[in-house]
Amino acid sequence: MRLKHGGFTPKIDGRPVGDITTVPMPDRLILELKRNDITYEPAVQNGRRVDFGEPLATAAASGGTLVLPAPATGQVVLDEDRRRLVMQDPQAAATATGFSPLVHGRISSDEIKKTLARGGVWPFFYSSRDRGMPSLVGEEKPRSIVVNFILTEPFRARGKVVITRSWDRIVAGIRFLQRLVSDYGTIEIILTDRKHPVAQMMYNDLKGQAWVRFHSVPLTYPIENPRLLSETVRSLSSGMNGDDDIWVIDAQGIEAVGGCLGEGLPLHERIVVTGGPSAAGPRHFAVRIGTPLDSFVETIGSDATVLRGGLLNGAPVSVESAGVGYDDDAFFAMPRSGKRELLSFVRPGFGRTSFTRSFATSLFGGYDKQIAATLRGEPRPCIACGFCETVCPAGIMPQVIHRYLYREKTEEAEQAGLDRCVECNLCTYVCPSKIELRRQFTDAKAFIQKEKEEMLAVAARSGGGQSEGEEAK
Amino acid sequence: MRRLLEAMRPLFEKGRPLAPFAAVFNAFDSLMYSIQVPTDGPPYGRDPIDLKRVMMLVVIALLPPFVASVYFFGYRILLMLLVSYVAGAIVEVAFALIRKEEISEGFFVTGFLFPLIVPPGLPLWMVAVGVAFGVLVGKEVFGGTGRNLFNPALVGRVFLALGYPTAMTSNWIQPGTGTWGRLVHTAASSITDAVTSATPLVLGKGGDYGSPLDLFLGRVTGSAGETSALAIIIGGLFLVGVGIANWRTVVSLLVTFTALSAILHLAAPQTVGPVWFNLLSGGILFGAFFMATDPVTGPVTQRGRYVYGIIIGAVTILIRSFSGFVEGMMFAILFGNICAPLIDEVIIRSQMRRFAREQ
Repeated sequence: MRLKHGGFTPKIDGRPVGDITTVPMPDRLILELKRNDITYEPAVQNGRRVDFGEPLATAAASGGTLVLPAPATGQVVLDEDRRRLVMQDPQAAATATGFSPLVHGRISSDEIKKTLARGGVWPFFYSSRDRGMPSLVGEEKPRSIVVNFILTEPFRARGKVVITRSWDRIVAGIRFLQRLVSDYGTIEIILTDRKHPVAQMMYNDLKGQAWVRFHSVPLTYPIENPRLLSETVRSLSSGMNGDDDIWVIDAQGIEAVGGCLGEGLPLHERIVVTGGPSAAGPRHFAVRIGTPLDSFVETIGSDATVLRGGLLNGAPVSVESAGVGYDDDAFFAMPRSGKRELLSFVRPGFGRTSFTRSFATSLFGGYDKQIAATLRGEPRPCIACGFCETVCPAGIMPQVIHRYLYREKTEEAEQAGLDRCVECNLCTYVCPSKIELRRQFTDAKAFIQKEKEEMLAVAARSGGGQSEGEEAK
Repeated sequence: MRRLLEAMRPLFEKGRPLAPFAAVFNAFDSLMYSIQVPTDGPPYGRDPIDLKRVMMLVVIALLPPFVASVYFFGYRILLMLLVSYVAGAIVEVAFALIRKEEISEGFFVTGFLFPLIVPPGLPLWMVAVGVAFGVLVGKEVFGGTGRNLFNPALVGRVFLALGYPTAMTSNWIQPGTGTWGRLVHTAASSITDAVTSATPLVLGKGGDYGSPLDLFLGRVTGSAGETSALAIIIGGLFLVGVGIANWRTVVSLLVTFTALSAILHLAAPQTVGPVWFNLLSGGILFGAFFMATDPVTGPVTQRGRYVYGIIIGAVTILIRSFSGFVEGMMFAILFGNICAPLIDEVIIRSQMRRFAREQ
């Protein structure tokens, strides 16, 4: 199994080593009340003491209530704008309030969903039909659940590291998934190589379970993209229809499922990596959610940018004031600005790697040591080099869509497959003209979305019964 | 150097007397020192490839044919290059100042290509007129780099070919031989002592195909950079190898050309020369590696590049074989340029239909 189109993994310096360093419980936890673009409302009063597992904040979404559970026991101080809270003097606890270990043979899928939503685990699921978190209500079950252990973006916590650390929880989690899929549904496990010892271990532990299947994939970004992954699995499975629902969950998600259901421990810990050319000793860390970043993210050089998330999807974060979020797994550090090099365009280009082979490092198989938070060039008009089309994993032609949008032909851009874009950012990464394709596409999608909503609203006001039905959906 | 540039920078700020020339200063500044523009949207890190590097790699790939042309035709080629750069730069800078846009690096390639695709004995003023016309009409009137329909260097060449047909078909120089080639000849003497009007393609029409080795090495008459197949292949493979020239165009063009000339040679051996002769003579290799691979004037879509190569390859051999012109590469590429938007349209529409079906 592999990507049907494109894909490309930049070779960047600062790959984290596989050992896990456990960060001790800090003296305060910083918890942001936002996750997956959903803002949570605080469920505790300022100054109150909460126990491990009690709800800190809630949000109504996907037909139910999502919860951010307290990752430890401690006293809560709420920020004035209610967007963030700090837990003073947090203490670990062996058992969580309101949770108890469940036996996978005996619970209903409804009970599983409710428990996962209370334990902060539900947002780890992706549904191909909902293009996001699956619904918490309804009887319908997915045809397959894809469990993905391959994370290729530079640099996210590696599936193998998570497997090695939490094997039992992962197996427990996979057994619980059985209750969530439809009759004769499958669990599809994505690994690199079936011969790898970790894969063998998994195979031996799960073999004989007719509903588990294994797939090996090459390490090409963005194979972990849930939308691509679900479509790739769909195309491999005969007898699966275009509208059959497929769910996707990654290594740490399934570990959290196993922990939450099998051991009664709500989401409270993450494996995160620090990586990139400016990361001091890039490696994996096991951290309590809320741990201030400055207690473990160390950078070299005076002027580093730290991205929350990987190189391709991350956004700058302030190390001094932020804490580890409920879904963080990567902190990428690189210099804020590069140095102005004399005649750099004729230099052989050591320490640089590119999608093209135009730098000396490409010949020797090295890693990019020079990357910085800059364009590394100047914005220019599109020259139609076609690099974006070659890397695009969605099989669309970003340069064509760019040209339509440049001429404000939104409709043609839509027909050319704008909504198939999975926002992997590769086109923007490789563009030699440094065009902000990602931003242009996101803006255009938002514009189209808004236009559609306005049209629906107009139709609803004029009393069209059909459009009301659409909205109710 | 850095300090000198920084000291000069205030002179070009708004309101100062030199402000209108800020574009020139900025272009020079960013040419000398890589510029560091902070990113403000994901992905925050970017690939190190930029247009300066792309253009410079094309120039580096053109060095083998350029060196070969200097060897075979003398220092005159250096002079032509200088004239081409100066004349083209004047047009380019003037337009950048008028449009208040950045000076684009695309000109480095056009200015370097132009002397290599004209007869080596062409008067220097014609080089200047040709390149200026090419940049002006071929590129600037369309809005500059990235927006032009036709390859600017070829537009300049067509202009000269139509305006000065005799000069463009008679100023061929007999190539130098021996260790030093024409390097020891003075610029002035190389123009007078060995001018001829017969290129291998002209001779080939009469059934005289010459020696394959001479054609391969470039010991023949022809446009300055197009004679040495060896040098072109070295530079061309480099350009394809680093991933700048699109291999799709090169492969489909050369395969079509070779296949079609083989078929035509079998069908009409009197009219069409053997395959090796067709491949090694004239501008086919130079055009395939360096002109048809210009991304801006070719199709935008990758699948279109195959079609584009097929069209150019086929049209070239057809013009060569069945028209009054002995060489068809120039017209074939321009014809391909015209077809490019059409090819794109067909490919984009077919993809749109497929997407609509899959919905």
